[in-house]
Amino acid sequence: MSERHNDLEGGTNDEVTFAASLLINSPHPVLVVHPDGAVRYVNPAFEKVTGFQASEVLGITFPRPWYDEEYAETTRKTFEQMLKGASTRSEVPVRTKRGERRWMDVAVTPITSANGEQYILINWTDITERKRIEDTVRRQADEILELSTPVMKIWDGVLLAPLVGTLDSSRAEQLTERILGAISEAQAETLLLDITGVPAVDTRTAQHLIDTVTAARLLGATVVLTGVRPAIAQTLVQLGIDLAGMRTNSSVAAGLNYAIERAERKPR
Amino acid sequence: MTSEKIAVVRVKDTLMVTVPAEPDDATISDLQEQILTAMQRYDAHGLIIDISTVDTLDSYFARTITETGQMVSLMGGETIIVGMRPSVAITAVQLGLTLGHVRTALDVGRAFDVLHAPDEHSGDAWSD
Repeated sequence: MSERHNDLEGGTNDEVTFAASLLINSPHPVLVVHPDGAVRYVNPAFEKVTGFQASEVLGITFPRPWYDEEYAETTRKTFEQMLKGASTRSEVPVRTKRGERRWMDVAVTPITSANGEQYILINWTDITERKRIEDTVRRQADEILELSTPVMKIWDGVLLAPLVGTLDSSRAEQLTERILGAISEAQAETLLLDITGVPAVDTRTAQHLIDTVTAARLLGATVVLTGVRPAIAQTLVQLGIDLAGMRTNSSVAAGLNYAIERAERKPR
Repeated sequence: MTSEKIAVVRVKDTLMVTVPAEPDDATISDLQEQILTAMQRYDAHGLIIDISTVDTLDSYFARTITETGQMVSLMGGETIIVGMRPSVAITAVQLGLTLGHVRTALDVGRAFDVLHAPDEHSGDAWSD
């Protein structure tokens, strides 16, 4: 076992045995590569994770059988950069012998053996599970983004967009796009933007709202901000945010009243 | 320096101009020139600028439009911008090009309404 796995020179017998046992018992795959690119050592965890036996991979150079073609070039380049001295760390998908795809955090470090030979130590950490969770979180965030800004027609030429939740920059951007798209599509003259469901308004949120209203104005429509609760009115004034250019109402009903009045004064 | 791309049309006491899809700087200044000449010739009281074909708005264009609005106002007319695309409006706001106090309308028909009911009927959020 140790003979097959240990192809490194130097050190006393005890040290070598101890070092080898560390590698053999490590739960993380470890590879040692010669600067010419040839694999000199893999530990048992590597065999377990990838399904490739040490005997199959020792001595092989690029391309590595455990990288998909699209990553072959990148990993080779990373290796070359690393030869110039830098330690690198990257997240790369690895294809196991059975064809399964697993994400690895790959840390590459140059090392020098006792007799002065240069090697490259590669440590893998399996991050497949973390990647999967990250993907789920991202997908759900997208979904929430999609779900949270409906725009509906409530009267001839009047749209209502109830806003629920905190308005951050990416949401604000999407909101503006949706609102302008809806205005242009419906040729609506008035849009009620209801912020009853917005927990708090800060300077940034207010700026987003002002931008949306300004963009709608450029199209020729008026945005009425409704649902300005006492707490929000207080915050806006205390923060010194000037919404003077915007029409605001405390309730959707009041905003709708204004919008209908406007629509009726100007029959089309 | 007269461009064939631009036609200033008179409808009663209102002038109408459609800005070509990709206006260069020369076209834009030519546009201003032709508008002001027509304002004088027809003694018009309103100007409707249709920018529905324009898909990029740069600072020069925005400034010229704003200034033209001010000039037309000095000559006794009111300017309405019509048909700005959503994507253009978003870019304009991001760049801070908000066309000053020039009024806007969704389409030409509404622009006529705005001209004939000059109170707070326009889309101008700052007019009141």
